[in-house]
Amino acid sequence: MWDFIINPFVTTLTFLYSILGQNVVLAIVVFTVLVRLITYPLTIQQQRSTKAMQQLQPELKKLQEKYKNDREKLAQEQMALYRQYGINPFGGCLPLFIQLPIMLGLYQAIIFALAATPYQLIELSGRLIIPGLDTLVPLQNTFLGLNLTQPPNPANVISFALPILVVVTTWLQFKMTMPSTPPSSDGKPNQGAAMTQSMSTIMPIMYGFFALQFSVGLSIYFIVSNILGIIQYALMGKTSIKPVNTTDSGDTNTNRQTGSTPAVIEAKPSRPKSKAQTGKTPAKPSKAK
Amino acid sequence: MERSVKTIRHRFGGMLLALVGLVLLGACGPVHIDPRWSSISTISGDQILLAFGDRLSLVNATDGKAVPLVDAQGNIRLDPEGNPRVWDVRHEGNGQTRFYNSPVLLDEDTLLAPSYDRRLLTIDLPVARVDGPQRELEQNLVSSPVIGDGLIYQGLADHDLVALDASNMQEVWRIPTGHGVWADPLLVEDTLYFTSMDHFLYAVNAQSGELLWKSDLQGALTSTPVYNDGHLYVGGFAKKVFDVSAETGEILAEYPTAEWVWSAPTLVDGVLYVSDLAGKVYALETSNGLTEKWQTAAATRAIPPSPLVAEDVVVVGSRDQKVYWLNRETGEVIDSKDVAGEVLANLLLIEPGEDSNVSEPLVIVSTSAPQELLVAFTLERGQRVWAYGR
Repeated sequence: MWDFIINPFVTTLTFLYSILGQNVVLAIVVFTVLVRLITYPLTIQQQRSTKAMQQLQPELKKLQEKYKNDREKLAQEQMALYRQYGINPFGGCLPLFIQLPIMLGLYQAIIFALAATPYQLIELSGRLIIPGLDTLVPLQNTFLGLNLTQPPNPANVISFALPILVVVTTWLQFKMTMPSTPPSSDGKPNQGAAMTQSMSTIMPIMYGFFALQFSVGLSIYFIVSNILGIIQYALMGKTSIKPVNTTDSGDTNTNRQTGSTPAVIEAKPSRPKSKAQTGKTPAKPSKAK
Repeated sequence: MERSVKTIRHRFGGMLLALVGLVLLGACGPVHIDPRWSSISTISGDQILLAFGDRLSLVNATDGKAVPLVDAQGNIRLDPEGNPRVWDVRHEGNGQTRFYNSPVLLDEDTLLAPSYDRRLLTIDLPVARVDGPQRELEQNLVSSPVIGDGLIYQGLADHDLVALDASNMQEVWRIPTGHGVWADPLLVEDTLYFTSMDHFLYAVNAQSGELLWKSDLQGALTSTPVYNDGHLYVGGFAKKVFDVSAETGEILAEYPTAEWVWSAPTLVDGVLYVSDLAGKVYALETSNGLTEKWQTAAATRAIPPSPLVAEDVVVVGSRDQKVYWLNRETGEVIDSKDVAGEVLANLLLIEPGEDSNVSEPLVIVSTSAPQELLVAFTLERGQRVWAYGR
């Protein structure tokens, strides 16, 4: 089912291996960079959509209070609000759905290219689209004395450090790139903040779990991907870099350390929002950098 | 209170979402040890030794039933509940116990079983128990060892082939290779031949380990060569079958295939039968190099095992979950039978004889499906006789 993604990925990874001095780690790094570049438009769209949705939370909350007994009216008003700001409520989901098979295909490709068992090696046959790459199979799968096809070994310090790095980099990326949720104007618990807090704990642990179960080569992919994600967002100028010990309910405008223009909603609201309504300075149109 | 409940509900919702994601990704991703590989061989006459996952079993070829354990007097052993015990060995190991190839007989009562978790297990055959000192090597083990003149020749999954003293399992010599040795070695008199995934076919002195020659066959090699009259025949990932001089390692002839050749060819009456991972089967005359007699696109998916040649048929099993009967003279597909799983391991032929109680020649097929680990077909008509599963 995934062959249309896996086969080009395996071919690309093997081709990179062939031109990068048969260094499989370098091939994984460059491959990850390429995939990140290809999915860059989707990443931007997802990030903007997520941020826009979160900045609309106070408005949405007010609508929920106002129409709590009329679901139909509430839905209508919510859609009107989205239209007013030019936001697609599913805008953050679609890029994710597109990226998910890419990610699955990517790590399947790494598993097949670094075949550790007869079955995995047989699975590789017929997947290399470019003629001549067969001579490279199987790829050299050792790095710093580590067998990249094997799961991390607790007895090997370097090997076991990789899943830890996966957890740390995943947590850092999450902390640095998820926009903070504005506090509720009425002091009630912010559901979005609670969700973000949960995810920021669960996601790194989940990735660490994967890193422990699967081959060391995948840990390298996760680490590189996370670091690239952080760099990517920093270059975009939208990194919500703040002290990592602040909570998500902190004031993001005053805590920004980059000095860059805060990320804003792209849409142009038709009615101005007063400070009395939001408790914050109204959003300003973004400026191209 | 209501707000706290909602907050808690949302937190749990987030965690549940993450857990679902974890399960989905775990289900979608491949496991690092695949349990689907099986391997079969015969111990004596009509007893089939099946290696699948972390278990070894003996199955009677006559009826497809598990072989019972018997004591020295021939009485069937019983477990504490009074049930007959069967010959079955399970080794938990470190969680990576997997048998990718068949155990071999170390002596009359001892099996030597290489496990993926780096151990060479010695198994007491009469009592079906892992027994005695177990040798742990530094790398995973995929191939079966070969035993000769007191030495055990074992390929290692990452690189090298080692020779161990059979009496104490100590290393005697080692041949370094550039990549793993996944095929069983071949011992011909005093010379040990083996292939490696570093593209080379090696010939070494079996006693001293002195390298005699090595020949570059242009692609990874996962199959054991076949020896005949000074020639070695082997196929590999270069998508070719080679005829190599056993004396010098010189490539005498080569024949192109459509895809990688995974298993050893079968040589019968001067004709070499080869299967490849494109699902094709080839018959090559060897009297003058490698000359095509016929080739057939038999299966829709890869044919990993070696062709089984007997009487006037060639039988092959494929990953498309079928077993094919081909006319030995023309290569025409005569018949095909469905099985429950992929056919990855070599087929076996059990023939009537002094040591065997089967009434007619049987083709034994091993599949990746636990409910049909072994299936027996008659050689001539391809009629299903029995199936064994767990």
